[in-house]
Parts: sequence; structure tokens; C-alpha cells
Amino acid sequence: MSDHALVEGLAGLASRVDSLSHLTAGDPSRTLEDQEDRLAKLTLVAIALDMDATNAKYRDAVNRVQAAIDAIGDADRKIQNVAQVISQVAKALDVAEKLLTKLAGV
Amino acid sequence: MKNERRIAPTGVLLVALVVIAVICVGCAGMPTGRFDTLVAASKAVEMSTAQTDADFVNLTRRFMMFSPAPGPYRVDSFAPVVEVGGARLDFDFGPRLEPRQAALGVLVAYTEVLAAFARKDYGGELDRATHSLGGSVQRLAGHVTASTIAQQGGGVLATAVNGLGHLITERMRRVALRKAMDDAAPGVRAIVAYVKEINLLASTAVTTMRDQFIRKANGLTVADGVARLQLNEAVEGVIVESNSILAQLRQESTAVDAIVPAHAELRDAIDRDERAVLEKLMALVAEVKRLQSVYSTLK
Repeated sequence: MSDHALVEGLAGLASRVDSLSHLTAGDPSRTLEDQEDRLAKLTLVAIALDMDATNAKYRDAVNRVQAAIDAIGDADRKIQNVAQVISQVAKALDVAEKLLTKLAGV
Repeated sequence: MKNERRIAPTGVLLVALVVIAVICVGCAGMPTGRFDTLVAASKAVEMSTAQTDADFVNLTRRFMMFSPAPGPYRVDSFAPVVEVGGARLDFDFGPRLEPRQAALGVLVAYTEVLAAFARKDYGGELDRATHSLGGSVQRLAGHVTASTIAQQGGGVLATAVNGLGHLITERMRRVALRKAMDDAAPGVRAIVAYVKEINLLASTAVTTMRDQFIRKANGLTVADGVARLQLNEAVEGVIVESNSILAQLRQESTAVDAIVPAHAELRDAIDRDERAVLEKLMALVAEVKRLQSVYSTLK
């Protein structure tokens, strides 16, 4: 069984991180830009791959991505929590990268 | 007695007229034109999707021009590969798009079988169309990335038309056609859902590549002059092309979605002159073609 929750989550998170990077400056902004770049690449890889939605690691990656999306919420209001957002996105990236690298057979 | 003798032939005549009328209703011509319209609509969506996929591949190539593999040029410097956590991961969309094209091929072949049967093209055309459907279903089944639901949908269509033989009377043909279309309906829905699902994924890929492209272009430092104009042209080209592909994908999803109610209405209206749904479908297909020609002129 496959679904596209991870693709949608990664694309949505990339878009939110991009918006937040425009609202911040300095190091946090650069970190968010780097994260957005990695999220975009993961989105493209996830689209190309056929993933089993019943896989526990897949579900974990979907949940991590969703947690990061929730952490961002409305970028305008949560701008003071950027450090927390960066941390959540980093965790989501870590889990998604491991999953996709493994699925791609690398 | 004389009167009875006169009435008897009149009664026989009336009965004969009723019998002839019933036979005529049973023999009334099948609306073959509408089946041909369904074939034309399915083919138009299939062709349009193939063109959009070609545009999509070109966009991916342009994207890789802005994101080549680091280091000196190699043969695979512009292959659709991204670096993720130090590993090089392939994002070739071909294996995603090809099964969608195969699924549309199944849909077209199925409508051709219906049209051949409705036209009573028993002289080889029906057999040819049935074989073509079998081949299309096998091609779809051969794609490992095609969803199980889509593959099962293809199988449902092939099984549904198995019962269409060389039937002689119009009434029997109508009954057989209705049954085939009833049996095939879940398969048509499954294939349409799959096509829309892949279109949605393709849209996400296009949006992601476009946004990344713009971000990378904004990171470039180009002096005013010819180089700036060339960069402007490249960025403008990608934005127009991306928006064109997104519009085409949206329109193709709308058009393929309209095949489901058109198929149902056609089945319900085999005896009636009901063509509103098909006309709507054709209007959508015409819009897909119009969109493509409009965006072609903008490229």
C-alpha cells in the first residue's frame, strides 16, 4: 500500500520553511534556507520513489514532518520560536533522509 | 358473422403492427456516434498527457542545468540526481509517468472495444480492439510502480468486455453492452483516480523545481548587461513553462475525471438521445487542446 503523505508533507514543510526564512535574518535565515534546499531535494526523491505506507519508518517520517509543520504553524506568529522550528525541521530531515536513502538502495 | 369476419383481419393487423413496433424498438440503432466521441475524448486526454510529460521532462532538464552535480563535468552531470546527506539519489520521474500513460492506454483501448461492438464491427475490428486492450492491460501490469488499484482496474476492464461476442439482435447487443459497462465502471474509476493521483504528484514536482529554480537564480550574481538579459530569459522561460505544465495537468485531471460520468451516462442512455455529459467532456478536452496551443505560443 502506498500513499503520498510524505511527499505532501515534505513539499508543504519546504514551502513553510521558505516563508519563515524570508521573515528572519542572519544565521537562522541561512539555516532555514539550507533546510528548505534539503527539503526540496527530498520532495523530488520521494516523488520518484514508490513507498510502502504501512512501513513503520515511513509513518515515523510522516509524523516527524507533520510535527515540524505544526511547530511552524503560522510563520508570522511563531517567529520568536525559530530555534525550536529549526530543531524540529532538523529532526524531520534526519528521519526522512535516512528513510529515502535506504529506500533508494544507497 | 360478416362483421366478425371483417374485424378478425383488423385485429390480426393490429397485433402484427404492435409486434413490428416492438421489434423496431429492439432494433433501433445504437448511438454509435457517442461511443466514438468517448473514444475521441479518451484519446485526446492520452495525447495531451504525453505532450505534457514531454514538457515535464524538458523542465527537469532545465532544472538540472541550474543544479548540476558538483565538480568537473561528467556524462551524468545533468542526470536527475540530487545529493542528500552525502548520497546521490536519483529522482527520475519516468518510472512514475510511464505507468500513468499505460493506464490511459488501457482506458482508450477499452473505449475502442465498446465503440467497435456498438458499431457491430465484427469483421476484425472488435477482435483487434479486444487484443489491443489485452496488450494495454499487460503493459500496465508490467510497470512495477503502477498502483495495485490501477492494475486491478485494467484487469476489470479486460474482463468486462470478455462477454462481448458477435451478438445478432440489437436488443441482445444492448443488454451485453450495458452489462459490460456496469462491470467495467469500477475499473474506469480506478484508472481515472490513478491518473489524477500521478498528475498531482507531477504538479508537486513542477512546483518544487520551479521554486528551487527561482531561489537559485536569486542567489546568482550577474552584472547588468547581456548576461543579465540571458538570465532573465532563462528564469522567465522556466516560470512560463512551469505554469503551463501546471495548467495542463490541472485541465487533464478535470477532463479525465469527466470520463467517469460520461461513461455512466452513456450506459444509461443507450436507448435515449442524451448527449449533455459527452458534450461537456468534449468541451473539456477542447479546453485541454486550447491550453496547449496557447502555452506553446508563449514558449
